[in-house]
Amino acid sequence: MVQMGFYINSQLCTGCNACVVACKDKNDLDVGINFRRVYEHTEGGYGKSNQGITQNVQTFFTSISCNHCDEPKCMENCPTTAMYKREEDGVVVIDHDKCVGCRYCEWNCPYGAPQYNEELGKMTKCDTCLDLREAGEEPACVAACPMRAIEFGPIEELREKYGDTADVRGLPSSSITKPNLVINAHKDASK
Amino acid sequence: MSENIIEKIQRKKMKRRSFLKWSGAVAAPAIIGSSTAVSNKLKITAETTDEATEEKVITTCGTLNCGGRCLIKAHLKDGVITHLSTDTKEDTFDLPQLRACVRGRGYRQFFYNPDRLKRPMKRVGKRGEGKFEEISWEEAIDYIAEELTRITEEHGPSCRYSNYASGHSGSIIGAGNMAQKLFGLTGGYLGYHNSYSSAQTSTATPYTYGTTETGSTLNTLSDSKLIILWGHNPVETRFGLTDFYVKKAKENGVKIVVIDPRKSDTAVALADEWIPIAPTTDTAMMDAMMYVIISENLYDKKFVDKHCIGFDEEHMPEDVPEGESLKSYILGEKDGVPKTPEWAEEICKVPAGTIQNLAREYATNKPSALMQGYGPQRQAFGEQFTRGGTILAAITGNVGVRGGWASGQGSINLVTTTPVPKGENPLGELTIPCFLWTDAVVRGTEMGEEDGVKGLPDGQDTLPSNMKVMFNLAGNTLINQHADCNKTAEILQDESLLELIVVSEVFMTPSAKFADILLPSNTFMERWDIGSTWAPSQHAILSEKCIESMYDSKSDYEWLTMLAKKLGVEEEFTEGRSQLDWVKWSIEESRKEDPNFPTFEEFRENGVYQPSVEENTVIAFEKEIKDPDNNKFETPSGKIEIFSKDLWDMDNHEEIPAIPKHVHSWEGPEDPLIEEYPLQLIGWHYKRRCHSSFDNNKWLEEIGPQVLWMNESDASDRNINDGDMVKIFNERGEIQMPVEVTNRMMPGVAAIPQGAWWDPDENGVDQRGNINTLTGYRPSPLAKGNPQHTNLCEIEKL
Amino acid sequence: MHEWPLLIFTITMQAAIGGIFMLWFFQLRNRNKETLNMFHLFKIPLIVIALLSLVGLGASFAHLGSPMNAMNTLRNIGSSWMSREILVTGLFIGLACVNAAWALYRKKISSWLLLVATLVGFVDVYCMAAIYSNSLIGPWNSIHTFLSFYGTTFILGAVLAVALLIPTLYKQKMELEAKQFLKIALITVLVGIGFHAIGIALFPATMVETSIIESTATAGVLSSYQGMIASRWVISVLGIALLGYLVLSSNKKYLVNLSFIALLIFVMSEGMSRYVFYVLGA
Repeated sequence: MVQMGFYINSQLCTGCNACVVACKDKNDLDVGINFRRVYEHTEGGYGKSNQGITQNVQTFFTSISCNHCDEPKCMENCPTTAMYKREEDGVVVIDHDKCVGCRYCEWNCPYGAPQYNEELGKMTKCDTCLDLREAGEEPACVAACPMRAIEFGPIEELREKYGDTADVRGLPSSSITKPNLVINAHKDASK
Repeated sequence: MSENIIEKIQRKKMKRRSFLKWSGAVAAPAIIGSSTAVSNKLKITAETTDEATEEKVITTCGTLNCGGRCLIKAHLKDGVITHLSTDTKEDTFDLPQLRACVRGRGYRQFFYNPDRLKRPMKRVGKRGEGKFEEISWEEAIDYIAEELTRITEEHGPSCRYSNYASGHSGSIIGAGNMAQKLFGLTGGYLGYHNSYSSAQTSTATPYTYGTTETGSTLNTLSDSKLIILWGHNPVETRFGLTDFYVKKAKENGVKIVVIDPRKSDTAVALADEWIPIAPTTDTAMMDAMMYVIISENLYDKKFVDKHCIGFDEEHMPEDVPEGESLKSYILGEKDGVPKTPEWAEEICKVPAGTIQNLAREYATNKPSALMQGYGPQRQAFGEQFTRGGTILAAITGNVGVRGGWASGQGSINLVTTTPVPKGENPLGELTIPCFLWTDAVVRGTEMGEEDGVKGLPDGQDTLPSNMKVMFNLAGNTLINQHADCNKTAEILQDESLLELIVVSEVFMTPSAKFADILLPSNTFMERWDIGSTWAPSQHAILSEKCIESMYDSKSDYEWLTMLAKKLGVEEEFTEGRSQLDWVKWSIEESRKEDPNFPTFEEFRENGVYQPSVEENTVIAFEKEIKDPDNNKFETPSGKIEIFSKDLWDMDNHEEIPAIPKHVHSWEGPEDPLIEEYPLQLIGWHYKRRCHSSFDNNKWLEEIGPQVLWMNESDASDRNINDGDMVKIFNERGEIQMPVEVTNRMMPGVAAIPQGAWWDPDENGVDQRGNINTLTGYRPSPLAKGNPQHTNLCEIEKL
Repeated sequence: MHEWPLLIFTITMQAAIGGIFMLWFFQLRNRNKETLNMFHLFKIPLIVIALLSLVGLGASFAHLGSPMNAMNTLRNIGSSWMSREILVTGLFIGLACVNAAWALYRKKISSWLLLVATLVGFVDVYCMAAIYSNSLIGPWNSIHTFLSFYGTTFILGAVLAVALLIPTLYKQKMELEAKQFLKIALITVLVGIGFHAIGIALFPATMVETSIIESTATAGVLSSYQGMIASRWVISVLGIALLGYLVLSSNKKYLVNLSFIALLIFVMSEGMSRYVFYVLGA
């Protein structure tokens, strides 16, 4: 199995949400359902220098979808086994024939990846755009990012290229689920 | 517990979190479009596969007034656009992919929006009430033709006006231009000059350089050592290539400084340093930078002596008294006030040390690019901001060199598209500044040159008539994007002033509500056009028609043709061409100027014309600097005019100085009114809207809700918490909206993202958050431009 | 707040479990009193408890987006506390019904069946709490969840049993037993309240601040619900006072009504407590 994962260059993330909306467009998601989400984190404040104003405001954005974790808590706790990890690429997907829509995975994913679809009565989530990938294309979010700040590929290759940081300020500890995620931390975000 | 608290928490989560729990409250049916319900293809599991239906992919682009002009690929199945994708070609420095921004990604909620206007309508209630009855296109055209004829007979052709409107007006076939063409063919009209975007810079920049074409191609940014983005926020306003090349510069190790009252998304993602500055005081900081550069001898003396006039007393135009040069002013030789960093600090709130450092860095790290955004020029004395930037570039010798930047407007046209000509106006070039159209309604016959009126015939000091006929096609400037909504509404409501208001729109916008006749427009997906970018223009995209016009909508060109027929000028109006014919005509015309411009067939095949930037690199004023003897600047002196004799001769030295000066702004931090209204209020172009377009796009509202930004200390002084409902008010009006308390906003300043649809309750209190509820009519002194970021206000918790 | 089905489910199930426990305890103490006809006394309470557990079952279905797939929830007993809880809940509901059916058919009650149901019920409460405490929702991820769930079980079980038994006991002129049982109920309620109180005392220390990305800080949410939390305690104290009055008073006239009012009061207080619990996680 070649485990797949995402690389997020948080240094360059402008928080524009093009990835989020491209994903919504591709997957026809209504308001309230976001397979990918962009989080803002702001800290710091202002001081005075004579009449002038000084600042140490720190802000960064992090774009997160499902990290197709090595130890997915959503899967561990899913009562139906609908949540499963594909053998070929480690992508975590939901078998809708089994899903009962209990939303327990919501409470067990540190990244907020599983999204409840009221109309279907089932959980839904990022499947890495399996259909696009089969057609040889990139996942929608990757192809969308105006800053070219998202990559998708075998996690080992991504880690080799970009290191193995999956812990930045504001994100839950990677020890919980061992996410297949590499982040180039923003200068304001290193933990 | 009160509902309020639940709402508060809900909003917080909506913003910060993943919308997990509240989906039930906000979820609406997932059907997009109405008659053509899109199949709800929730492909979630690995097992689902595509249906067998053939998919068709068409490359096109939106032609709203969006600067990035991104490439859109529409995926069609059975005539329905199922999803969009964007450029996937090889992504190189020379020819980057033209990736769509967040707005482009949300287009399906625009053209497949069930709220679209579907049929022509005639007003039945009072103006602005929004009460209409449906009529046929023929009835609508008849009514317009009759009224137009009647009013023209009574008031003359100069009472007719096609408003500045840039919403979905289209690109080469601008709706407003076509209306002007029709007016021109039937007697004439009152035209306009300026824009709401860049009036001050496009007026002021030529006083330095003789032209607004002061931009270089963006690939040159990687050759800079320092980029200062002054009030420039490309990642929210422009997207597209500007973002790409600024990012490339950053990756190349170029230091980037952003100056902005708000820690913009650009400041977050691209800046090494963010410098917050009080609005309307930018020129004070610029003056102080000049002080550092001059007093520390860091300026480019050779450059200044050779290429500029007005720097010092030795290089002044004739007939100007002593002590008026830049150097005299900056060093305070005449007024006794040296424009030191300490002097500026008190005004603009930027610490003197910061000013000093930036000045030194900018002057000594050559080449450096000082790029000005259009935000700071939309202030009371925005002309000074523009001029200040250009003069900083000039005295440091950053003009005409690769990696430098001349500053000012920054236009450049690598790719030119030919617009459909609008023909002659029988009244000549009679125009008003577009921002003063409400004045022309109320007191047109009193307006003359001092109000910026241009093209008055000899012997005529004022406009011949007040404005009586208003065509507001494809835009929201009739009220929403103009200033002082309450006052504008009053003017529009008075039927004795404007006697006919025709609006074409896609949605029931605030402007649409004031129509007498309201016509449903189709969208760019339903018609042919060619899209080109804002400055710097580096590509063009064929905006191919992908679907038939929805409902009973028509393009403006189509119904104006009907009106032309009714008025007996159809042949002259269309010149025998359909919209598609005009696109082909435009391509052929462009090919005459630029043989590399693709043929229609090539254009359709590739979708885009994107010439190599590396091969076509432009550096503004390169030849003027390299070979000044044979290449003069287009100014009266042929040089860069630090001191403008033309401005001097206007004889209003306080408000229109001949050299860039900090002028105390009305409703700025130095206005005594600040005692009563202690907060400065600015707007910003929000990533989720293009001006006011897409305000009703639910996907974009989700990623960018309409909130007021307020600094933490200002909020706590007023006992305001994040997520509270607040009222923002001044003498002109009141807004009630939720607040986001964030230190991304500097103290003393609040900001409302511009473009939200004005939604007054019965007391005129805006419930949505349109900043123009609080902006004023007073124009900037030179350009007569809109000073939208010049407001004082107070904020209270509701 | 959208977790109403879960609120109803946990409250009814815990009331039923606590009720069974109280019945078992009552018959254990009074098993040698021949004057007592346990069948007559327990017939209605057992039916009510069985029905209550079925209501809980119904509510749990209302929580599911695809109830048709409900059987799938038993597929992951190996690692999912929810699977385990559903299995044990099913067992308890079955046992509650068997107890009622046994009583109706045999015209007597089985001490053993009551005991088994009680034990399965207590395991069930543990599983219920484990679902929440094992999740990544910070405020749930604490010993507080266990104490709160058992607390509710004891409190509601006791007042439910009071409301179901006392009227019959008085009707059958068994005032002594009634008084005795009221006393036991009061002590059980106090024990339950004690569980809650210890849970809250330990809450700040044992709570893991949430592990889910960018969720709202617990303190902030709690401060929004201070009013509700305060009322819940005021109401609880009123309930205890009322039970105390019932224990001490010899006035029989209103006792029947008052025992129902006590039930109502504690359903309110426990409901509010549970409401805040769900809000913290939402």
